[in-house]
Amino acid sequence: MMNLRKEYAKIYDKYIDKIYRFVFLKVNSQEIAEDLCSETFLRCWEKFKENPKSIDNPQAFLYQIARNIVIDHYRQKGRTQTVPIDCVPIADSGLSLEERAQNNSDLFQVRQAIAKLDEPHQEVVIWHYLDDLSIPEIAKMTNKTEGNIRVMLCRALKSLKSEIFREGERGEA
Amino acid sequence: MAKQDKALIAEIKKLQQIKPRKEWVFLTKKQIIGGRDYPGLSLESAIEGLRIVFNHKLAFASLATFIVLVGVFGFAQNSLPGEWLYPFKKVAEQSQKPFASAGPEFDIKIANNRLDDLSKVVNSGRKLAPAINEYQESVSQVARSITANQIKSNPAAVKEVVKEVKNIEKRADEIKSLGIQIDENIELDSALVQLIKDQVKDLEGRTLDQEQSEILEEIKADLQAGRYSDALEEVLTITSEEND
Repeated sequence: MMNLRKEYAKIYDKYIDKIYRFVFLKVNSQEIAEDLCSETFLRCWEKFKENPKSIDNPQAFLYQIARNIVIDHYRQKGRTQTVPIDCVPIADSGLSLEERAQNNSDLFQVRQAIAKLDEPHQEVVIWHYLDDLSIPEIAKMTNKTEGNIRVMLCRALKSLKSEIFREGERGEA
Repeated sequence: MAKQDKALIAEIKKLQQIKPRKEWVFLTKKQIIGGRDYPGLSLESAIEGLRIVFNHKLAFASLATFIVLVGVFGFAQNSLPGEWLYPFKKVAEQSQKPFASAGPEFDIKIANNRLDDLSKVVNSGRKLAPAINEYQESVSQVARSITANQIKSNPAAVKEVVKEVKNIEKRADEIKSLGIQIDENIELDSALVQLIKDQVKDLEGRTLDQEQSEILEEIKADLQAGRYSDALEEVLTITSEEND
């Protein structure tokens, strides 16, 4: 049991940031992201305890649980996925107050744009650009071809650009 | 890739700054996994881990020591005087002494063991000196034990001692017959002389019949001539008759 805990502690340490970010970008709330992320790791631990060998790819397994939990969350609460984005401070990298404000503003725009993407496009953007998963890895996780993933990424970038441009125009107006 | 795309991807990558609160990460880990015995989380768990490892090491070390000792003492049972394992055999023998009955019986048994060792050494053609020394030492111990235990008032003990001493002497004679020089043990002789004198004094205080009186005279003669085991055997004859 102790070895299992140690092993799972390593998995937790390795993926907690990624899973949290994945969930956060979907729910846009720190509080909800924390709850759903806890639930994700708890469910994974229950499965891991029973049979560690049943989890070939912990990362893919965690993402899959997280996706299902987010879907359940919206289903149960009858919410839509495009909830208003909380003003959660996310950057604290030694920037000056002015730079940080600008940075947060830019990030806010990007987050808002990602939140408006449909779920499959949102996920490939997060996995590829944020979590550094390769296109073959994403293809394997989603049971899609690598070509499909490339097309999805291309479309997602296009949507993001137009959304950010629109937002920029609104802001200027 | 278009310049705009690169800039957008750079902006997206900035979202990697999104990270969970450290305290939440810590607490969640503790809640899910149990928080006691996985490494790297806190000083407390690190100390706990060290304690477990240290205890295991101690347990393994103790177990290993125990196995080695059992092995050494096991092999030592077949060792002979002059071999490096022999002291372990003696230690193992002496460790039984506290559990043996009071009296010289235990030391007599050890003396017999030394005679066994001496016989084996003679047969194997090894150096005799260590085995002879060990035998002499064991006989001295028998003598000290006879003196210390004051067995004169215990006819059964006297009978047992006489029987065993006769047996030791007989076996020693067998070894001597092979041409091995074993000096008489002065300490044992002194102890036996004292024991015989005590028995003679005791018999003189009793009413003896004609035959017993004659045996008593023979005992005194044997004592004078240094035939201590014969004298003891005759003592035994009278005491046995009286006890019967």
